[in-house]
Amino acid sequence: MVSASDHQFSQIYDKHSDQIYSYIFLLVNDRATAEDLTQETFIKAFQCINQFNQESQLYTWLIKIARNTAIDYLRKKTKFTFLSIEQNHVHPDQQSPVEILIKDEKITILYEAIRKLRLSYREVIVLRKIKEFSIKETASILNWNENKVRITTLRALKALKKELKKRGESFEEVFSNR
Amino acid sequence: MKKFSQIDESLKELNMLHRDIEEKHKSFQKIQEKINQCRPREKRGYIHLAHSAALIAVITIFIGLTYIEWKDTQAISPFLSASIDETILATSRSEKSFRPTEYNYEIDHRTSDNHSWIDVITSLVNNGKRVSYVPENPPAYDCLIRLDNDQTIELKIWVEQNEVYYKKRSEQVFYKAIKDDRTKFLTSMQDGFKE
Repeated sequence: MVSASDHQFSQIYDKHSDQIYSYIFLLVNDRATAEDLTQETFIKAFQCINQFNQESQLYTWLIKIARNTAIDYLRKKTKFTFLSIEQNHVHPDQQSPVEILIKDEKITILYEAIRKLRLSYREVIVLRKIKEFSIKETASILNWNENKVRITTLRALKALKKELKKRGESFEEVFSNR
Repeated sequence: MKKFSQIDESLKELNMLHRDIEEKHKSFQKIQEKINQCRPREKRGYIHLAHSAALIAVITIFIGLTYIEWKDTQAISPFLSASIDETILATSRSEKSFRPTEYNYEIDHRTSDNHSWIDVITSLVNNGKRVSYVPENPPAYDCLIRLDNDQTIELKIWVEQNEVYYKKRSEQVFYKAIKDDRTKFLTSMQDGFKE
């Protein structure tokens, strides 16, 4: 059990909030929402800091809270609706938010392809490949077993490859000369 | 190996997203305000701790009993060898064809890992009654169900005279949805599957 003074909490925020923000952004794809959900995550963390048992890293614990907060938001947003390619289709002339955030065109293509994946695939790619959590940590965050993390990661990468191909890109084209 | 390391490197770059420093500071101020608002309530809450604890205990017991009953009625049928993880739904083209595939996100396909929807489908296939009736019209929907144990089920679904029938694609055994499940399914279709 731990407790945090205002000063300690401020330090925790400074150290981890950018990473929490980028994690949430990759799930919700909207800057303002990501900022709001980051606030919510840290408020929950402050209120529940005595439940942090130090068996895991503080960062992993914060990511777990962030994940629950983002998933709650996504569920409320998509309650009884279905995601369709028409609704999610990004028009070629429409500037995506990530283009403001990320300057590299190939990374933007990769980001847009990840955006089109189903939530479970997106989650596992973000945690394993972008945030570089171990299989064990990812399993703990997602509340899955380690085998499911391994299988879903492989499937997610396969789906990502298909998504890039559908966009007329290939791994080779996107990642050559990098 | 080189290709994979290139992909990994590119994915890592997505970890470094720009965040407006002003927004970051504003967020911290809002967090502090919210935390300060909560503090007096915590003190007041402490006075009512005994009451709250008793109330929570009663609610927990109630929820526990309800959950046990719910679990009994939601037992996994022979149809489902594990819980449903995700579904992909499409309007059906014919009895023989099957449109959704695991990685298919083409037009007209709807995919969902929404829990409310998964509850509707779980209940539908768990409670359906086996019937000898064979629907006369072509099927209305194709539904790919992916289970927690990584198995998949291909379901063909018919809607005839406001009744819902379904069968596994590979079998000729038809099931009819019970009234409650039929209503929920058709409502979901009207709410979320408009063409």
